[in-house]
Amino acid sequence: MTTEGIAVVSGGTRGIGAAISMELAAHGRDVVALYRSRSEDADRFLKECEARGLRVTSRRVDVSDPDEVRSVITDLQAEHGPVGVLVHNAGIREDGLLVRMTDDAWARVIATNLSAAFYLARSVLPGMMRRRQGRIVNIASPAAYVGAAGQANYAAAKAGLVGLSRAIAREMGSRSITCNVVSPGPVDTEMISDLNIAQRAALAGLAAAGRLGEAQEVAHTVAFLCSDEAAYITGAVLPVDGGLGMGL
Amino acid sequence: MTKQEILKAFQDAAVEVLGVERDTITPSASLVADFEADSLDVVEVLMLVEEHIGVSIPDEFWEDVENIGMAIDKIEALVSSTAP
Repeated sequence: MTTEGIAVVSGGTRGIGAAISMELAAHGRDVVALYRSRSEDADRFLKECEARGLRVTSRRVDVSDPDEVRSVITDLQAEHGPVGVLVHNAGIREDGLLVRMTDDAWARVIATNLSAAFYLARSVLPGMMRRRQGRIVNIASPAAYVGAAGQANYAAAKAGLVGLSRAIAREMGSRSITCNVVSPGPVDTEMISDLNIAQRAALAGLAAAGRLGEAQEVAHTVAFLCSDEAAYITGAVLPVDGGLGMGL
Repeated sequence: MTKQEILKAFQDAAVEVLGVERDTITPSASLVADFEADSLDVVEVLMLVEEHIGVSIPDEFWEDVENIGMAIDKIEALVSSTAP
């Protein structure tokens, strides 16, 4: 049975999220890309989608705010019908060594990268339960399992996404709802644009593939997990990292 | 809201979630004991009941509820105490 309904992609107008939004739309799904800031980027993204004939709209929302999430999902369901696919891709970095990390830097990263996944899932799952179908994909990072100096907040949040996703997979398995994690390695997006050439090369060297990944390569994997063919895959962590983690 | 209306909300929800016959959902029935509902089934029924009657009910509310009749009595009391 094909999963019905729209796809909601948080952080869906830039970087990996933009590629995911476009890929899901290319598979024929209506997509709502959520974004918090930089509306000019969202406008540019929507124009590109339009030029490609993709049915993508966008909505500004702070996914780290539970009330905003509840309200935007209610609105989207009223306007576009049920949510069949949820991808939580929104993520921020506020790096720093743990001994110097501020409470705010910790809280902001946990709120956007982890708590938002909970708020979004809580809002869309009742509808998925009723329809006995649904796909949730949370975007994590190798930082969750290989450790990442200077990223205590980010690594903790991404590791938290794995536990959250597996809890959802257990709770919702009987309702034909799957919840998986995709763990992209170093992908060439704006998130690592602050790195210099040597740092980028070092990052690429961590992967067996010896290069940075492309957002599109992550998007293909997400689209697969959202497809009918992936119905028996749930609670999995699927690395798209050029062999950086290799089973870790 | 009458007890009959609340019972109807339970019947609608149980028919949808558990696929049971409407007439089997009586005040003496227990979703868990009589219909082998698991915890997710119960939550789903209660969410639909909340939706039907337009009242949000905290989880603690259900702790000592053993059958649908007890649930109906508690909901009726809750609704009448919060009614304008």
